[in-house]
Amino acid sequence: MSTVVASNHQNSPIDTLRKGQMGIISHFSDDQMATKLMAMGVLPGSVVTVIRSAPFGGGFYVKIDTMVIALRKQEARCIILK
Amino acid sequence: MGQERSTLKIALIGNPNCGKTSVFNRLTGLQQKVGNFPGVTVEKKAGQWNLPDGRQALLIDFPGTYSFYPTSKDEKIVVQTLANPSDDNYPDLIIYVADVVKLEKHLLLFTQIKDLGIPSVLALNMADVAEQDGIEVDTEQLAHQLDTTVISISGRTGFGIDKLSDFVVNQSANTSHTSNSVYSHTSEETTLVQNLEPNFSSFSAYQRLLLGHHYPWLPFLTQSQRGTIAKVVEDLNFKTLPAQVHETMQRYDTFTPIAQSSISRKSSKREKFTDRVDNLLTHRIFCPLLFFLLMLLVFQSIFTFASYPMDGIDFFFGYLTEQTKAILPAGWFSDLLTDGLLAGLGGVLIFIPQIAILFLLISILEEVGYMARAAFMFDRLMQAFGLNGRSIVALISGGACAIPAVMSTRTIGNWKERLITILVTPFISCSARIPVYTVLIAFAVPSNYVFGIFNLQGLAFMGLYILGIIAALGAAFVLKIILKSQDASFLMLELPEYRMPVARNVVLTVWDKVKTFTVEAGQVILVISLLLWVLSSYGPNRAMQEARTETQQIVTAQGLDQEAAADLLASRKLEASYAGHLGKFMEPAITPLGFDWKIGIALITSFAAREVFVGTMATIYSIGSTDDEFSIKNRMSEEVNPATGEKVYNTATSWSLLVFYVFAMQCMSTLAVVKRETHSWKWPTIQFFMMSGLAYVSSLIVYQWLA
Repeated sequence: MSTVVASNHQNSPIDTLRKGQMGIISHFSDDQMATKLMAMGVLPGSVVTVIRSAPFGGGFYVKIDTMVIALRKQEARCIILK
Repeated sequence: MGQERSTLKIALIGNPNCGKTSVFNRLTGLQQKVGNFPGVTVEKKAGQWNLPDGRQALLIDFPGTYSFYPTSKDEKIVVQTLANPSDDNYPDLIIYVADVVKLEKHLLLFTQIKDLGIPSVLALNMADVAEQDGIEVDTEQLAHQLDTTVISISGRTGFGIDKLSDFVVNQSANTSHTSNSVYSHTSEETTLVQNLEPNFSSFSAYQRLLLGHHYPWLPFLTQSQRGTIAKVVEDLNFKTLPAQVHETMQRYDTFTPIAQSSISRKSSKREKFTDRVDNLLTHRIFCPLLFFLLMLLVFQSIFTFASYPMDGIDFFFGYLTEQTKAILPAGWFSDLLTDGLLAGLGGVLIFIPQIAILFLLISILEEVGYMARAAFMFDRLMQAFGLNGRSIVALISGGACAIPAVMSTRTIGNWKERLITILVTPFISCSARIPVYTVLIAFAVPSNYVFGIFNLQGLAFMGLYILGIIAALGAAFVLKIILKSQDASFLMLELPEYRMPVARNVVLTVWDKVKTFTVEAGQVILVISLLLWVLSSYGPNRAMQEARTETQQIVTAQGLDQEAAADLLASRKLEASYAGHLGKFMEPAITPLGFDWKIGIALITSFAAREVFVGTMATIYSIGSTDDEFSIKNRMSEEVNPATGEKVYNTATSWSLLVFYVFAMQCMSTLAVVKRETHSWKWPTIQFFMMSGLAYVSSLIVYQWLA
């Protein structure tokens, strides 16, 4: 992929990524969301790319490894980047 | 033979989007039954599976879930069934369906399933897609390393299904099964499992661990069992969330290398195709535009295309009624058969075209992978009103008919959001309100033009629609605050890849919806319409007798022809009937709304369906069984209140009645469907009083203000 891993997003949640930016997941800031995300296959070490943020200031549409997932803002906020 | 008497129970389990439904449809075909899991409103699809050795197995399709740590009702069902060996749906065998393309993600739940101690098989679905995508799986190595049986299948093409059947036949003959787990319990978990053993000896070790995690909500536990577990958990200071995270991580660490070493993949064309399509379909501007175009198509189809088969059904029942009346001698039996039973049956079947068309389109959009994206787009907007992104489909189709709309809420996972959608959808003005609006608007608004282009009546028409939308969203907002929910609301939606729809799945969905409606809601509709028929065609004997003699006198005195005489008799009989008495009885309650007892009768009869209002008006004003809105309008405009000498249908009464019909729950079929979807009379009752209460108050305000 030609996209560059954003380096200035250390320890910040993925909702700070702009469209097309990429990052690697470090950890989750909420245990309940973490179990749910991990069960879906979103793991520390997974590569995240923001495909789009929803209209009406809604959620995020992200690609995580091979799958695409829709997240609400507060859900995206608990995923912390490396 | 003794063992075979009890049917073999097989569970179909897998992650959402693993293609489980295709497998289920392939194995059971039309022999499916949709019911509910005990005590909850989670849909349970069970089907008969004819095995090659001539036996029949019961295949139960469980809701898709990612792990044994659930957050929604649907996901909880999987845990509470599989963690309880004495559950009615506890399976003898589990077929775990995994999407081979996403094997690394889908193995988590499988490794948990395997630890339960229930015989299981790993079915790698989408073998056809894997082949196209250049994905190769070494099933033997995978089977060896996971210590399980692995079978490659495709629910879409039917590949490997015979092997799966053979496995089930052999497996059920030989049930001895032990295998190793990929997860080793921590010392804390080991102690927990040991300490629970004396009280839960019939449970496997992993099932006991699940008890430790989920005892606060597991419904099958008794109060004392719950206490026992709580004590063990507290003594160990066992914290469920960190333990869940630890277990999940451990499992991934073990099976990820296994999965990776068994799979070789070239870059996937399908994925790139999905990415490209998504770029277009989820575009900020293009996406809502496309969505509304699609919804317009859906709306138009229910509205327009459905009208042809509906007219056909209408005509057919009309013909049948006519013929029956001609053949049978006139009397109560003929009336019961035609005006009661046939009318009721017609009233049920008339909805089938709309239901079939809506679900045909929705299930195609769902199969293609579009619906999940639409849900994502509207999630934020709908959240503000306590609704779900998927609610938008119900709200829009409610503009044609609330019945299929309410049935379409099945796909909303969160119960509270689904319930609110069901409760508010009937506020949206449906097509049955149109005849009522057309007749009444003429009395409420003059047919003038403003700014030379806008017809006032047209504007009023639009205003009524907007009023319905405001009521729906407003009610949703209030319900969001009132209703309690234990389940946290998540979006976290995995968006499926775009795929060609499978005709079998689409057809089965439509068939299932039509069948459910006809059989289950149909019973309620039939009973209510029979009741309404009795109310409007029977009355106290003396009153009915008087109606007949009086009509006879008038006919002789005025020399009316046969048709006019029949119309007059129908009108007088309706007045003398129980419905007429009820109308007069409730007159004091509806006078402040500007309604007289004649409107009262129409309110009662149009509970069957709103458009019946027009027909009832025709009968009351004895202009016969005409559906001609123009002649009804003319007759109504002449109606004068005998007490005041003023016109009955003045602006105030007409507006009041219009507003009443926007809000009131004047549709027994919708209530029947809501009862079916919520599995209790509680919610349709609440809905009835919420809507009709709002209608009463609003009409009161409107009439008092205008009069």
